Amino acid sequence: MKRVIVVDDCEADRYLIRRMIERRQTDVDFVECPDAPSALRYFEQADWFAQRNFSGDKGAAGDAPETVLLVDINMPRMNGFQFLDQLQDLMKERQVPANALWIAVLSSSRARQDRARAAGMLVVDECLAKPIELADLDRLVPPLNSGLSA
Amino acid sequence: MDESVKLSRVLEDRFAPFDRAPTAMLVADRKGVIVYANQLAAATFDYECEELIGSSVDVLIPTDVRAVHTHLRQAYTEYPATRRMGASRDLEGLSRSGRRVPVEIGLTPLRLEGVDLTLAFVLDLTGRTRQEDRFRAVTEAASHGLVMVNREGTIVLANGAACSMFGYEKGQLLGQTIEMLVPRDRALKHRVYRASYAERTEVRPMGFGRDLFGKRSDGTEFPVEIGLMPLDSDDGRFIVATVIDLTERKRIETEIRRSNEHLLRLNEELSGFSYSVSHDLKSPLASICGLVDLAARELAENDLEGAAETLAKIGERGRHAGQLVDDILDLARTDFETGAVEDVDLRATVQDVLVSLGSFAEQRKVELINDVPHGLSALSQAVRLRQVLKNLASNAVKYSCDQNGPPFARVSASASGDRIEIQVEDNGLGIPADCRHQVFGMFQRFHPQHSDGSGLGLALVKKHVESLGGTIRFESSAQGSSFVVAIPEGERTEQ
Repeated sequence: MKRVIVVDDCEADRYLIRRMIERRQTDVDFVECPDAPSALRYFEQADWFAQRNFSGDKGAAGDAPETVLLVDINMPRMNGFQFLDQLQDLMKERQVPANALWIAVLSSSRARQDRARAAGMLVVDECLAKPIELADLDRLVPPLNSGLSA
Repeated sequence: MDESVKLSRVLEDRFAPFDRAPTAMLVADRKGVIVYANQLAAATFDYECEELIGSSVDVLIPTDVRAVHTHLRQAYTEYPATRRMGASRDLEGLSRSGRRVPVEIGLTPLRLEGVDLTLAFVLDLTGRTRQEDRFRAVTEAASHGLVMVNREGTIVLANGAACSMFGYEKGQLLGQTIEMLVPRDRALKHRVYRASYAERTEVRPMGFGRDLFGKRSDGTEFPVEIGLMPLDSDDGRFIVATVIDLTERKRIETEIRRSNEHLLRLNEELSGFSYSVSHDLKSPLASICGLVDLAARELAENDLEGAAETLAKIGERGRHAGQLVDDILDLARTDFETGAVEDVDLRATVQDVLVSLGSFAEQRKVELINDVPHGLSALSQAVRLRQVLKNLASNAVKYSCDQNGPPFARVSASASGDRIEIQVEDNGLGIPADCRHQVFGMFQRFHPQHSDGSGLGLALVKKHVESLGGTIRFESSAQGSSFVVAIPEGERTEQ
């Protein structure tokens, strides 16, 4: 089953993504984390990575990735980058390949320094501008029945 | 024929070729009577030749040295020799009008017709002295210090600028060693450097790449820049040093460096500000755009319940954006706030602020306590002080919790020296340890679940406190936070 994990301190933005996914009536496991520490705790659950099979090469044969992680950059206390640094360490520690997750960072600004920093992070697959577009969602989480998505 | 007549004939005869010579010549006998003067000699002292012949040389000698001269003249006639007169002394003659004429005189014994005479060559130095005067005037007028030393390091010239720079009276430096102007710990080395420089010929700055210091008469040191130039003259080699007092320049340099650092800091702050604004200010707009699209689709599908919820979110984000803009404007305005600085009664001000927070505190079940004693006042701008207190007190309410007993926010104050310390404390959540260094930064939020504030409140507080000439510090733990603002005290009133 597809899984979408959103890490964003802004409740309205989490609501937006949740609603967009709900309305597609796709079978998606949707996880919301209101801040980075709670997201880390989620991944640290001893069996989280172990339960999953990471043999699949992401992007291969045009398949959409199994697990999508959407991370807001601008969060208080621990921002998106700091969170991803720690997540990267955790993945290394658990010997999880970098392509186990499709990771997109979200930002409402077009600050160049953010894009540069994101590009430099191995685990980051793409940068998305807020608000997230329906087309992005279609790509990341293809709808069961495309007729319903409009 | 009379002896003297015969002598004057011989003189006329012999000296005729020198009448118009370009060198002033005088001949006197043993008694000091002038027996011959050529035209230039007479002109030097504003006389006609005929007037001088037959007069005593005394008429050409300033009255104050006349007596001495008589003795010297007699001594000369006893031991006549060809020599310069008044060696190493400044000689002066006296003109008909009483003007003193600087001269150099060469003497030669002469015997004519059995009479011992003295031939004097007189060199009028007026022109040369004028040049020296001009040199001295230029030297004096120079704004740089000029010090000239001889090979031994003895000061032979120091202009006014040099004297006042080093704290000496005019003339006090002459004959002193140059090392008296050099800081004691460097004087020995200086002696060595000086000796080696005296052998060279280049014009160069002194102490290349080192900071040089001069020593004043009171022993204090000051930064200097020194240029060196060798000067060769008949009297040997001299070293001319130009000295520039760098005290003012260094002060300005420091000032420029300081203001540069300040500007850099401001610039950093500004770029941090624009980064934060681009995130924080755009974020609600991005949410709103996304939510509006969603609401449109929900409406199109007649999902009225969903649309209503989405619209409510839009309203929330819109209000948040408005609050953010207000806070940013408040922060920007702190620099321009120009209320009068006056005595502000503390207890009354705190009371006003707490009353304004009354309903918010009630809603969050926080007890507001005004513990400020009567009679204390701050020398402050009321508007700023109110903003500071309101922000701190509303934070105390906002971040309250009931884990540490019934929540409260207490304001107290005390005088400490010439300052008033105002304390705002609570028993709320406290500031997480890893965030305490960012407390006064902009757009810092530490409890996003508890508040959707702009993260500008404490940045604003800090700016206000600094504008009031005060300081702010805080302590925080899981048992609560305490902010202490120290500002200048006003007039105390007795109760």
